[in-house]
Amino acid sequence: MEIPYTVSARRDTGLFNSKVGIWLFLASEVMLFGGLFSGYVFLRAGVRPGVDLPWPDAVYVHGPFIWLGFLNTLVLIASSVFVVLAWAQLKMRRYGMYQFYMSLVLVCAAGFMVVKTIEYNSKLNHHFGARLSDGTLLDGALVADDSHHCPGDYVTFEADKAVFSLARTGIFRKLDPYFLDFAVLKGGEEMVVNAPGGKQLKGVAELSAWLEEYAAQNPREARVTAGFAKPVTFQFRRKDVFGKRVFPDRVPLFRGNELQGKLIDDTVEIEVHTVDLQMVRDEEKSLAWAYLGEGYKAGYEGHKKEKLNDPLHRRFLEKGGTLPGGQLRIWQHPHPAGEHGGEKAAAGGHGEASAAHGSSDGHGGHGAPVVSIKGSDIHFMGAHGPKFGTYYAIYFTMTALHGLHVVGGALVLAYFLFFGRKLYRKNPEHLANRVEVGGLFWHFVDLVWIFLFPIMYLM
Amino acid sequence: MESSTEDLQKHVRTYLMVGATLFVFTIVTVLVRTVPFFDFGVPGVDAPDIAFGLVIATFKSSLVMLIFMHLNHERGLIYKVLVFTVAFAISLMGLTLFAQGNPIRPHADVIEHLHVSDVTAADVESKAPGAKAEPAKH
Amino acid sequence: MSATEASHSEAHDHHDGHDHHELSFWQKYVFSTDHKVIGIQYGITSLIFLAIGFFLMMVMRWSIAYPDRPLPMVGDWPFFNKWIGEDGLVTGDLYNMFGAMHGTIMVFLGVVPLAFGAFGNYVTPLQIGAPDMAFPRLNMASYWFYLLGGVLMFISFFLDSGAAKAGWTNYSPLANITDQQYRDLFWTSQTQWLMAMVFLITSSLLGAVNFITTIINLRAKGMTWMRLPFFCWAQLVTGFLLLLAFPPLEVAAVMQLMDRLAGTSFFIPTGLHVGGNMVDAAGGGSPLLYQHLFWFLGHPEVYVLILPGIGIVAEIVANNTRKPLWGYKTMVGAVMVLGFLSFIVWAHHMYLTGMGTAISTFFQTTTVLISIPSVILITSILLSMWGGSIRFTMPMLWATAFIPMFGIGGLTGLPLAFNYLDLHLHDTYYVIGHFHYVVAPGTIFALFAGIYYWYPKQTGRQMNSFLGHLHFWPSLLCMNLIFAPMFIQGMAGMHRRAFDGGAAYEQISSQVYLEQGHPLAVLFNAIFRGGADLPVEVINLNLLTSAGAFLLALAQVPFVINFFLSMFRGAKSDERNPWQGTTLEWMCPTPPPHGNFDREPVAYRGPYEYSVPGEERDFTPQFEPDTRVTEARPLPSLH
Ligand code: HEM
Ligand SMILES: [Cu+2]
Repeated sequence: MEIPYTVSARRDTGLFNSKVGIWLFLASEVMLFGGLFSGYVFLRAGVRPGVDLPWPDAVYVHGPFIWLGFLNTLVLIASSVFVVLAWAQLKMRRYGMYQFYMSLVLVCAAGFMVVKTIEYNSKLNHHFGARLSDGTLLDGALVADDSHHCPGDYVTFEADKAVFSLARTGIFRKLDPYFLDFAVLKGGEEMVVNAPGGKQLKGVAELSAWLEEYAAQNPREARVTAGFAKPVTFQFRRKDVFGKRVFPDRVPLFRGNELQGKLIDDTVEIEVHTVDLQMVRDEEKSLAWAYLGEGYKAGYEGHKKEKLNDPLHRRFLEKGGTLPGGQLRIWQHPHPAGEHGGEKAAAGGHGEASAAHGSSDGHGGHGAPVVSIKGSDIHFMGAHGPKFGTYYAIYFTMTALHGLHVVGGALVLAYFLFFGRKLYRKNPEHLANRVEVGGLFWHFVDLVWIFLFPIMYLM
Repeated sequence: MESSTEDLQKHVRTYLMVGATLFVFTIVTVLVRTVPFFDFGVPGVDAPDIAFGLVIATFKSSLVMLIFMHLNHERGLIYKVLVFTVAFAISLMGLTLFAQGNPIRPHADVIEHLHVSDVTAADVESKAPGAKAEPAKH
Repeated sequence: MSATEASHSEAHDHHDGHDHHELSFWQKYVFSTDHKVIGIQYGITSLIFLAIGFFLMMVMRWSIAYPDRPLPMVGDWPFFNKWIGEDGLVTGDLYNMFGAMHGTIMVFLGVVPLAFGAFGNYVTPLQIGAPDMAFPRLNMASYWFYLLGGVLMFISFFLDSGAAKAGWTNYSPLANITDQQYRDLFWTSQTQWLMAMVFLITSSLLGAVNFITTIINLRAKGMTWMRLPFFCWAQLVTGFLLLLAFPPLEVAAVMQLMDRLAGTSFFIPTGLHVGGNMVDAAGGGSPLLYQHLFWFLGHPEVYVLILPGIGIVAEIVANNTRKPLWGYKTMVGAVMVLGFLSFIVWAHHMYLTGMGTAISTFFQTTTVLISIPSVILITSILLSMWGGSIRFTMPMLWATAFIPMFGIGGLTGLPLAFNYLDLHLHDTYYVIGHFHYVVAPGTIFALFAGIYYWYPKQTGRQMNSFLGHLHFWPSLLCMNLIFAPMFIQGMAGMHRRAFDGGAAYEQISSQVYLEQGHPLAVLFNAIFRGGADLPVEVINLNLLTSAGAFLLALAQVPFVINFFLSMFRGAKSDERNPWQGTTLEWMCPTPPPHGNFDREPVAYRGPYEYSVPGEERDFTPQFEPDTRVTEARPLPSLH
């Protein structure tokens, strides 16, 4: 049995099967990316100024990424040209030239992914921001700390009591070992627990045995509280605790376990490149100045005046225009954010950095102020990864999906390149059809990028 | 599609020209965004910039579709499928946006009472029990 | 490529005898690329899932009817005794879990795979005269993606967190924040629901591409568009609905996955609090975005559920009334209009989300418009019966019952279309009644009709008609016993997701409406026992419904017996055309071999030439050359 019209076109539709198939598939891809673009528009239009995190048009974070995006646009356009040239060569039955152009396509695809990796790496590992409880947004970089791999979000807590959950969760009815895992990892191996009933339990093993026993004897109890013989100091990361929140007197852990005691330290050190006050009601009283010092406040005022005196701005304001929200409420370090290894200039130039909080001790290497922010002042913080607001969410989702399409398309085209000769000998037209269909997909991927570039990097 | 070698060679020239055009327009978009001299309207990004960027992107993508993807001479069936697809994609984007732009607003008295229009992040946070030292249980 | 080349490589040029080697067992029955085997695989898998979904529903119905009595029998089953509370009662959590999974399994793993995957795969290529699907390997892939998604969905029951419990619609932010107590969010209920959905969506997309390509490009010689059986039209439109509506759901699924696993805030608004604490998320997202993306699929999906059913019923009605389908062309037009409109009505599920009057009016208008093509379809089928000499065979019984049942479901949808009325009815049992009338006694009946109709094609035997009646009549009765009371409960204001069947609200909800003089409540009160204690009556209807549900389960026993028994014991009907049908599937051998046809199928006429005046027999199959006309009519040139 043979399926008709795999190579030649059916006369009334004028199409061979895989061409119908690929166009249908592309139609569904249009809806896929259409859905994502709709999400982009919906989220962006839904940003409530002053409440939600602003999108980057107002905050100028695109910086160097514009050039990476630009480069990738050119790379993809070139690859699109190469793929259609490869097809044309095949149609002219020049297999060697086909191989040449198809290899160029793959080189472009690899180049695209390399640039993408650089970009992701920079966003995920070098940019960091924190939204403070009054709405102030401090943006910059986490201060590197040799002792921890990922610094900044370490919390030290001195516990004198612990609540152990006895809930047997799930269908396996296991006692949840979470607390014990946590204790082992975070420095609790040495702990001594005073169990109710006067027993003293040393270390994790005894504790776990006792918990099992206790749970068996008290099937109706949900949790049991026990004190430590002497306070135990735990050091852990916020992501290890439930809801990523610690309180001055307690740390909720997963599945209803809890530590009680005293919070020792949960400060976060940030090298500040940008202060964004769009979400703050009263700029004068922003927490930023408490951390950075009055010198920076003066700098901010100066910057604002400067902006208003800028001829372009002034002309626009005189014509009755209003500046978009963020323009006037952002102060940026004069040695701009984004690239590390800038010059080692003295801090600011806007008066003295607050000696108490700020220092330019060479962490970042370009003189931006460094502040230690109390955990309780932080509403939300993170690297410029997908978590950091809806812009980053849609940026990473869309570019990653697009990247997957690039990889998928490249794999298919590589298959045609490296394993095409046999089919070419048998039926060159069949190979040409396949390359045409693969090429259609590749052009579509390019087409998506043509829209992604301006909306993700330029606006 | 017809496939005599001369025709194809002519096509190849077209493809190269189109590629060059795409390069040029990419550069233009970036210039408008990065060089103040080329910027329209307010410095930074504003509505005219967005419109300009999108028009260029649309132009570029139609070149890709028409020339590289051969939509300038394709079979009717494919156009039909694409027309409906694009219509649905537009309705998805348009109608969701319409729905977002047309919410039921609280009555004026209610707004005055609640100061709904004036909520800020600070308000939101100050209502968060966790923000204050003592967490409240609901 | 050139036209001359094209004409050289027609299908039948390649038939050079027996060049196919014997396939191994695995290739033949498991990793098969034959559309019929894949269709049967789909059929069996989806019937199993339908049974699972039915079982979940019975547990829920028990809890609704007897919220204070321990679950009988199953309470002691392994696993089961872990899920239910110590007192043997169904907990609210369990109810939520089973409710969400019932909906998911029934819609995505039961009805769609049976209607589209099984019947579409088995029948469509036969009816258009194709040797197989256009992309047989893709077809196999789509089945395996489906199975993978199904298995993943099923094993999520055995996760520590249990299975998904945020409703079959999986609304955010509820779905985002469930399971936050688990540190590894990947192996939790909602995440696995999303993963499974990604597989199921992939499967549907591959299937849709394949079906549409097949129908467009592999029609036999002479099978012009207007000679296409209506079933194939229905499948074609269904394919387009799946193709274009599923991707936005995929977007929603990916976004929700990102929300859960990468900490994004697509659907989390600024300042969201859970349990008194601010959620650790940047905020700025919108739960409404999820609803839009979900219902953009959701509404077309309900037509995916119903259109194949209508297609099956159309075939069976024409065959058993021995009359052409009334208004075939109108029906084709209607089904296309319906497909188109179904993309722009979705927000009628969202009237209560705070949409303004302008946008509500838009969606209300399109929703009312879409009922026109629906009514055209059902009316055409009804009119086809007029004046026919109807043979009430087993398939025809089901098909006949389908018409009023679907009618009730569709007509009760109309009040929901008006947002003024929907304010009252939204999220009540009325909505449950509405859509179950469409899918349960509607689609499911049509699918049963299809099973009874095409069974002889595969097995060469008829299904037993005594057992068939034993299956049909109780099913019809129970379906109505179950769903009719729901309209009354819904109008009285009973909410749809109460695990105790509303016992907690006894005396409250409707009493309030009565006191306020709510028009519906007053009307209701006037009709039923003026002044009596209304809400208790309403809640007691739960007993009726649940009894119906358990009896319905019993009523399926004859079917299961019949299905397996008739394979070996059924009356032989191994002629090719047991129902004296006209469409091409009755031309090929029984069961159809790999490649389907033993001579080239050609369609000489329209699909429903029954009782053509002047013919000897009361049917003139598409595949028989015209004998009456002496001068050969030129065939439209197709190849
Ligand atoms: C004939 C025209 C129809 C109209 C005017 C209509 C209208 C509606 C409306 C307005 C709702 C939303 C009710 C609410 O949530 O408040 C609804 C719900 C629903 N309809 Fe229909 N419908 C129609 C046909 C169908 C068909 C053919 C099916 C399925 C095969 C169907 C399945 C559903 C489902 C599953 C829901 C509930 C979804 C949920 O909330 O879980 N409807 N219908
Ligand atoms: Cu709907």
